Amino acid sequence: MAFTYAISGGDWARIAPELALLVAALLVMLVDALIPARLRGALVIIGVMGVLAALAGVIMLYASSGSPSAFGGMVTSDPLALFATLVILAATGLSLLLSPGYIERQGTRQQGEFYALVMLAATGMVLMAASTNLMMIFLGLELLSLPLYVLCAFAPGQQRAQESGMKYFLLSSFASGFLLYGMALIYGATGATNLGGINHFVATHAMSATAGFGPILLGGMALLAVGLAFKVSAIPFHAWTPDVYQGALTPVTALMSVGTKMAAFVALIRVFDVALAPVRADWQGIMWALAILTMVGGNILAATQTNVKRLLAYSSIAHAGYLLIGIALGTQAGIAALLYYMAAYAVMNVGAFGVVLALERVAGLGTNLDDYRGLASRRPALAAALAVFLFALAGIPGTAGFVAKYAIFAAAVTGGHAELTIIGVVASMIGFYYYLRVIWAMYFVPAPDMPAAEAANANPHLSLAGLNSAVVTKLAASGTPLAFSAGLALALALIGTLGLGIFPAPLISLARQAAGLP
Amino acid sequence: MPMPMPPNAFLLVSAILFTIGVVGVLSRRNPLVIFMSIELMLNAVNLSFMTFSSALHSVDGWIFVFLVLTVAAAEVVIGLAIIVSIFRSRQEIDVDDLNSMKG
Repeated sequence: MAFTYAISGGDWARIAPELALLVAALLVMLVDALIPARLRGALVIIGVMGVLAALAGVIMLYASSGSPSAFGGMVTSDPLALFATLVILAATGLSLLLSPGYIERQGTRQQGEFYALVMLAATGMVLMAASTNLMMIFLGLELLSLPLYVLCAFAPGQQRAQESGMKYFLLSSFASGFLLYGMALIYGATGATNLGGINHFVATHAMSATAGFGPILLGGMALLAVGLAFKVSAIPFHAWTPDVYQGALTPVTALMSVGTKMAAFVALIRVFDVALAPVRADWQGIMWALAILTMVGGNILAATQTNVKRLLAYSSIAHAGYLLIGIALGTQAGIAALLYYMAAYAVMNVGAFGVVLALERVAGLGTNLDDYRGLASRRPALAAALAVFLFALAGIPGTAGFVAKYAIFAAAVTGGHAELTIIGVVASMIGFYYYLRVIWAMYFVPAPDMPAAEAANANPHLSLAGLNSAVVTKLAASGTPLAFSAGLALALALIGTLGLGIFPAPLISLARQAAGLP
Repeated sequence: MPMPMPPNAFLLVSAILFTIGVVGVLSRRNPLVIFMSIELMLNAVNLSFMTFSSALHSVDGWIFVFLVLTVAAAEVVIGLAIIVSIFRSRQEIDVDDLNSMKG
């Protein structure tokens, strides 16, 4: 059988965002080798340029007409992929801007490698979101995971970072094994790796759970669901999340908490809500149970945390629960709500991690809840920003988080699953408790050092030693100044969080378009 | 002339290998051995892909196997690098000792 297939220039244009990110990664590595060590901090500029170029590619693809499918149906640039790309680019851009200053403070010398790996991980995320074939989903997933393993273990000589990298590596590879076995069984049952082919087979063959291809397909769906549930850190596959998020460098945590989730949720949408839609009755129960377990469990576990980074990790698990409602519903309104939620989550979560990063000293010191006491009097701007991000994560009206929660709960009611809404609202109430705990510590609890420093200032006859200790206390209290780019990232995240809350309409219509709604 | 093995036998072997891999990951404490168990899982999946490819007369499964092999090789590089960097700073590698973070 003769088989010819030509790759046209149009195919390459369809993956313009991926190419832009990849070229930026390669350029970072190339330039890194050519410039003196003291200039390496400037490599972040190449990364940000790459993100902007990818953004231009997304805008070009939104404007383009014709079939979005490319490379023989391997990848696509449909509105769903483009929306997910926008969210991933936002998270990548903000994480890059947060990095200068911080990664030097953590003792990192190889800044070139750091930025190159961030760009490669972003490439993998975008590629996974654009995949319409099981092979490409797997490749995209691995391209995003492999750089993240290294990035998690990146801080030199920090035990927690090494632990974080090791745990993520072992558990993520373990989950990849399940994911692959699921893909193999689905391929065996349907004879296709291409999602369109799988959908065609499932739609045209009646399935029996006990005979024929039925049991194999059921097993495949279950294993694939386990693999992807691990990636979005749904309970009971969440055990890695808090340790990995706490130990990794904070910009990396911010990137993976948003980018990996977005890519994996698009894969869940494409595989379950689209390709396997004809057998929805067989998988809906799993997603329904995962959503409830994750919402309730994530919020309860977060309420007991004393480390802010860890608290945000559990909060990201809880948010994965709300997002899973969109998958479990299986309706287009549910998918649109999920996408909007993800965009809102991107700005508010990266913003919250950004403030944590600004306050963090070396090796994860300064991330305990106790370190946030009296923050409002020491760093009022940062405290106010963190308060806005936490209010948004809790879902207070006027912020992006409220619109997102409203959209997803409304979709659950109209989709005939009011019980998910009720459980979701109750779980959000628990969420209020731990978000407000941080805000309470910042605004209403005095800092432990402050009385001593004030007493020293009040005494006019300070001894030299006393003066020194007061100065030291004051310096320690105010912490390191914020790098310009990190301030810019926080400002952008703040604008996004409030902007999406007050003017949600344009992004909601974009999300509806991505979900195939008019 | 010997009878060719039926596809179900290959699938059974693949399932058994995969299970051995899963049990290995869950029960062993040395990261290297855990990692070997993960590799066993991946190769069990490869066997499934090959079996389905032959049974379905389709090449997709074979291509998938190549991708899995390549990715597994890349994973080895990164995994061993992380294990070595931990070994350098602690002189022992038992996953039960990786417990500086709790909650």
